[in-house]
Amino acid sequence: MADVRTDPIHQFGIRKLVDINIDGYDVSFTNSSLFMILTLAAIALVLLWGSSSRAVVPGRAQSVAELSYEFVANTLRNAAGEGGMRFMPLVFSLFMFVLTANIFGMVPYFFTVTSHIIVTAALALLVIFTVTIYGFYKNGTHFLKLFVPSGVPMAIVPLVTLIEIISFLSRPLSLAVRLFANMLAGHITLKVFAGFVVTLTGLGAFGFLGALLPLIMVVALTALEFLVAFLQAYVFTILTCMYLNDALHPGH
Amino acid sequence: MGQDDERPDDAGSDPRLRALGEKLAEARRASAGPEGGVSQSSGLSGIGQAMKVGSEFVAGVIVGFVIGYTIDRLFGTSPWGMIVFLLLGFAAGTLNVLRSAGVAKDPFSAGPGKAPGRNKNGED
Repeated sequence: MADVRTDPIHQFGIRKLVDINIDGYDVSFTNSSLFMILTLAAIALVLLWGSSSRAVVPGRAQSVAELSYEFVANTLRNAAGEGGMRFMPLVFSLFMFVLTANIFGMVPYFFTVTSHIIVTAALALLVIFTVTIYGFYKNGTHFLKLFVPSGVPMAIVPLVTLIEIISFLSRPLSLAVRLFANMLAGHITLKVFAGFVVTLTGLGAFGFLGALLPLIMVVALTALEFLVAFLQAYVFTILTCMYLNDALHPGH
Repeated sequence: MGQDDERPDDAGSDPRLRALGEKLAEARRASAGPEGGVSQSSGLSGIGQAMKVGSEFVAGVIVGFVIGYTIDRLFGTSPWGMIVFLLLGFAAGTLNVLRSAGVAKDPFSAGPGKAPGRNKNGED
């Protein structure tokens, strides 16, 4: 039953490539680590290659590098203002990492780094800690005004503040869960439909005809997954920008 | 994302550059950027919207649950912490959903940029 070819979960398995054990902690080099490094290498390669020529009329690689930079810079500027540009390195790294990891996941036999909640949670926590620490550093206790909306009657301020705090705490969770769930669900769906094709073609001529339908579905879903891969990276980025905006300009 | 917003820094002086910038912005708007085209096309992007709203809501409830559970464990007030904070988490989740749908005013994002990407576009 658990045929590797049609098992939709098998692709997410973590396998140790190099066993490393330091002081009782398992820090083995896994396929996930490998693909994180590959992701970083791909980003570094494209950006270094793209920025090496510095032509006035950009070539292909330079276009990619410049377009991605401009795209993230505009997003950040629109969401957090000019002051947000000091977070450009962080936001650009996040966007490039998530986008490249998502796109890498679309290559057959590749491991999808962002389909593991531990990875997306680490990214989301990085964002939320940056927001909180920078918010307190920049605004001091004034940052707490974020939790007390203006124009609320005194009597329900404690209640509203509690709700706002929970809403604030739920941000990293929804940030992490959204990215992870989208990638996981998308890849499982792809695999399930592809599994239908495999199973149906094993049933003779009639199954061959029947397999056409899930095959069409797989093709359509692949296109959709590329869209999702980009959109989730974009959503992650714009939400990061908006949270950074809170750190820069809390209260009113 | 709104590339069509006015750019304060560059392309200010030369009228030809400005005209080009306007043309570019026009073309970008026409060619359905990541937010425009997606939010308009229904169906599949609706799934993305549902995922987003769902995760916002569930996140609020889960955080409320965790806080309530922790308080109960620490102070032995079971089940009251859970009851109170689950309800608060429910409220926070609803607030998240209303905010992401652009129904409730988002007091968080009232900086200079006013976060043009979120409310009306419904990216995801």
